[in-house]
Amino acid sequence: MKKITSLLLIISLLFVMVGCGDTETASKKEEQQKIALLMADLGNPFFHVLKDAVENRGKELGYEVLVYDGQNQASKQPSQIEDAIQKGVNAIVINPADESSTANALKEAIAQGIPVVTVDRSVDVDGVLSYLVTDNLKGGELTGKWLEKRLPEGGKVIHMEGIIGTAPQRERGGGFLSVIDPAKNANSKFEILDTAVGEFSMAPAEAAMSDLLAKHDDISVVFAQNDTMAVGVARAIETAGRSDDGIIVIGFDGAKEAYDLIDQGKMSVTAVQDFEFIGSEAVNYVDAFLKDGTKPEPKVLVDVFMSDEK
Amino acid sequence: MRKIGDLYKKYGTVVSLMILVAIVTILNPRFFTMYNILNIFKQVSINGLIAFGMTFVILTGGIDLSVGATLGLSGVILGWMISTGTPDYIAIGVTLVFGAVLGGMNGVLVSKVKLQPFIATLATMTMFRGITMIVSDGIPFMGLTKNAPMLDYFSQGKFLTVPFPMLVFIIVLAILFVILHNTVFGRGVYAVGGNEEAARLSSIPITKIKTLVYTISGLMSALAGIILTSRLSSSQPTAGMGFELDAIAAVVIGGTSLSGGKGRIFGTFLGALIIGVLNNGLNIIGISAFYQQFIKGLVILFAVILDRKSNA
Amino acid sequence: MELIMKDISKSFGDVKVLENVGVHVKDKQIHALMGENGAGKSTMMKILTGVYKKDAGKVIINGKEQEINTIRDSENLKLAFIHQELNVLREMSIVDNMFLGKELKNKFGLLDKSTMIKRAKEKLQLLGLDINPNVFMKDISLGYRQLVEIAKALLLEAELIIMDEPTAALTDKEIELLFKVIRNLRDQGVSFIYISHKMEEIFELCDEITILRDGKYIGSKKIKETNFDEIVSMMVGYDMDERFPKIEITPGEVVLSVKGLTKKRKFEDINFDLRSGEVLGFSGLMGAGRTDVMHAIFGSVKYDTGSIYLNGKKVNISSPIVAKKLGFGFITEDRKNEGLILDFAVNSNVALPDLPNFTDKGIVNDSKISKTVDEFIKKLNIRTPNQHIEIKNLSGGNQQKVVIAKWLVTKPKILILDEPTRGVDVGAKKEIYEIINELKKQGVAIIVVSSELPEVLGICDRVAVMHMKKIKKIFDIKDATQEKIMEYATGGGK
Repeated sequence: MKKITSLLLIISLLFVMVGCGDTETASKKEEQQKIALLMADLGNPFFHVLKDAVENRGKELGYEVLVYDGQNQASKQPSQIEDAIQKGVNAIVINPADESSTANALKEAIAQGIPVVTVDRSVDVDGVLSYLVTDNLKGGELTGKWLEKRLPEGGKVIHMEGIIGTAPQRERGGGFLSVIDPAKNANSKFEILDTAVGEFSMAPAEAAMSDLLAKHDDISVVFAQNDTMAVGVARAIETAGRSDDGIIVIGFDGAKEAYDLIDQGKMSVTAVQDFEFIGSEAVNYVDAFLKDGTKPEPKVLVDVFMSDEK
Repeated sequence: MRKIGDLYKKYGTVVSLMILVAIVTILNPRFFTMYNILNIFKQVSINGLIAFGMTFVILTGGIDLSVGATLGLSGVILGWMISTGTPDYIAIGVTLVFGAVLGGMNGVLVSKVKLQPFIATLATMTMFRGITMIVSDGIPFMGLTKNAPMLDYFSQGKFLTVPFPMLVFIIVLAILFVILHNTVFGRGVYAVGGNEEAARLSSIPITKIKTLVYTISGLMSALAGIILTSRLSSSQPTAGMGFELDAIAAVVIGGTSLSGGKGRIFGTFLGALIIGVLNNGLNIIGISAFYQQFIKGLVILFAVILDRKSNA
Repeated sequence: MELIMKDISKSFGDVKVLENVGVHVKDKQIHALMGENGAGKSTMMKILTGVYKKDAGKVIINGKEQEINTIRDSENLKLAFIHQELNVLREMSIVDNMFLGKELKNKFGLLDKSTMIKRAKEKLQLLGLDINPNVFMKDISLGYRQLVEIAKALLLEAELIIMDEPTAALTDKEIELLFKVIRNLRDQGVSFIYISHKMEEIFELCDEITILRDGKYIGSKKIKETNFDEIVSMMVGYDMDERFPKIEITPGEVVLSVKGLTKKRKFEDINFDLRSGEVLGFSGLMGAGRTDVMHAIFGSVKYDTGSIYLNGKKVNISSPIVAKKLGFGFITEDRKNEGLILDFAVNSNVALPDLPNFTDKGIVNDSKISKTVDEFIKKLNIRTPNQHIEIKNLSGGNQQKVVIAKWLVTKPKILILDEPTRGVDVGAKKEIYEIINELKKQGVAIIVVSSELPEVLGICDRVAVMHMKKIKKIFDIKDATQEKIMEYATGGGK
């Protein structure tokens, strides 16, 4: 009996939730054109910049933007795409969780003539309108060059890596090391003291940095492959009482919390991914295509800029 | 051979830990400094506390997959309260109660609704993660310890020279040790895991016991969440992802049987230390990231195989 | 098959469990192996079937010495061992259980289900079992499971079948059938080693008997040339006077009164009174509903209608926790699954139901437990090296005494014993009867559920006979005979 009651409860709960969703979308105007925005992971605050950019630009151009959150699970996105197609969206802007999971679902959308723009990561499927991505390799190089300028005499560097094997980890790290690592650039005056893995998140980066602070007394630079890790690194330095060591902390992304820490002097710089540009540009491409069939470049690399340079 | 086996059974985990410490120290003496040892304890306290709660659950033959999500949700609730101006001592108290309630929910699902623990906590794990996202809107709360001295104390505080999180870790260990080994409830935990039906027919209140172990697990996760939030001075919506696995690993390395009824909380303490030393040691030695995970898995496997051998 | 085991010795660590024991099973013979629990019967059989390795001695089969190192070896020599705790997979069908590990495959390498079902059916029919081999093991009675195990042995063309307490859970009808099958198989050339505590059965079925005691060989006798008393004294090492030492007590007031207790499909309209200092037996065939009634009274399963009165007051026993508080104790039928926590030490098992009374300010007082447990080990003559040993290392009879001790600690006013002597040797049985007598003297009201009629007649003051979920008759013991009880238990009687 109890089991049945709880089951009923859960089912009714589901209905309520589904019901809410329906009324929300149904109340919007029928004739308004719709763009589906599929985000890989809104749990990462940084991607909110991208989301907001798409939503704002969409609104400006008169679109309704349906936002889906993939919650960092590649398996969720295909059904979200199907759902979007069902709802009759006119275009899809997707930040895919990986390069293959959504291929079939997107093929279906493309077959129905729905323009697809992928941002930040590509999908292995033909017929995508455009793929907008930060030039991570160039960004890494730019960061390295910034560091060379800042410390012309060189220094001892900790490299905090993201999730091993992902494209941003390889490219940001590769670009940075091509300038800083003496093994790759004979002219470099720097030394790579240690490499640690922070998995692109704060707690592991903080823990790894705490360990490395116990190991080394002479760290002059930490390059973290994203800002979330940089914040963890800065926190570890602060709580270890090593704020006076003058360690230069470099992040990547241009997240709000990084700017805050830069203002407080706990971080030095971050390489800013221009998500505002990427987001609004993606909407522009879609809009142009829907209006007169204009096709943008199939792959557009977007430059980063250092936070203190703009 | 028999004697050695018996000895290992008693002291095996300690020996494993000592061997590990010796190896890392030889490879880099900076490992064995007071500063680094305290650093390890501070880090271990988070996984260790969760693993303590997990030990109770696993001893009853259950499993709690929602610990990481509970930690994340508790942290975000704490962050939300602090950033909306709630005094930190109240926020911390509420967070602890909140964690216990989340755990209690798991407990009721398992004991009253009679769901399988794996399924029940898998479902609540997903729900808790969802609520975390709803509450935080995916955005972390930052700079939390600035105007919250008590919250700050949870990671930065020192009692005599002992860091406060380490102190919490040790005190909680002592309390839970007494509860598990010296109270009627503790005996009941083992009895439920040993043979639930026999326990029920021996008039052991199994519903109450099961509800309570998950409540303890939730409480421990919330406590760990407070410490992590304090450490990072921020609450990350994604915090605690995968923590359940580290906690389970600590419990198993500590010699507690996943089928329930057998194990010790002190073993879990050692298991958590082994994982902590391993994490820290691999960084201190400077092992490449590519090898770190492999070595971690290998050590876990090794510890568990040794344990099974000594139990055979 | 002729089997000679000669001068077999075996030690576990420092403990000698077998010392120069032997047995000579002749061709076409049913050979009984008797001895109290812990006498070494099981160890000897495990050596024969390759589970354990012997330290010394010889195994000679049909005149040839054989080394048996694995279970597979013993199977190749056409030996089969049917264990007391049946190795059945409850969630698999009969045919899958019978062919487990020896599945037949067709030419595509897939399971040849139809042949397996055909052959399973053949063997089952040989045993007189007309049952669909696709039925799940969990859905057939304990008795049928036993017969399926025998069918499985037949499948292996076994020439020597070892049976350990095969009738412990069988009804009389099933036993009769089993014996018929065994005799039939013997006449076709299969030999048997038959381990049992049931004297009557051995005298009815077996041709010869070998007796072990404390890991030593005591002697062998032709059944025709021996008698009950001789065997018992060989087993226990002294002359035993009476099997059922009954004492007469005038029962006191009615303590427990059960009125119209009913649970759909389990039992119907159960009515009885129980007085202090009285032993009420519950007799009946398996599945008659006796155990379910006891569980309902103890609060471990819910009943639909009816009421229970304790000292004239209506009580609602909603759980075993309540039952214990009201002074009930329940020694369950299934010792391993319901009675004991096998990984726990003796003392932890004994203290389990009464733990809250062993505490000082919420902290468990282990020395208090230890004292009480030692007291009960002595009182019930539990044979264990010490109280810290895991209960699974004790013999069945001693485990059963621990289950009894566990409830005696709570000082029950009403004690229910469900099959208290199942799988227990003669000596321990008598000790259990004496415990029951002692409790009776103290004025405890006692219910004994038992399938052994001599036991019921020997120790009870009254006996309720159940058939098809109902109490058909409550006898005063002086009016009851085995025949009368059986008559009511099988649906006859007026």
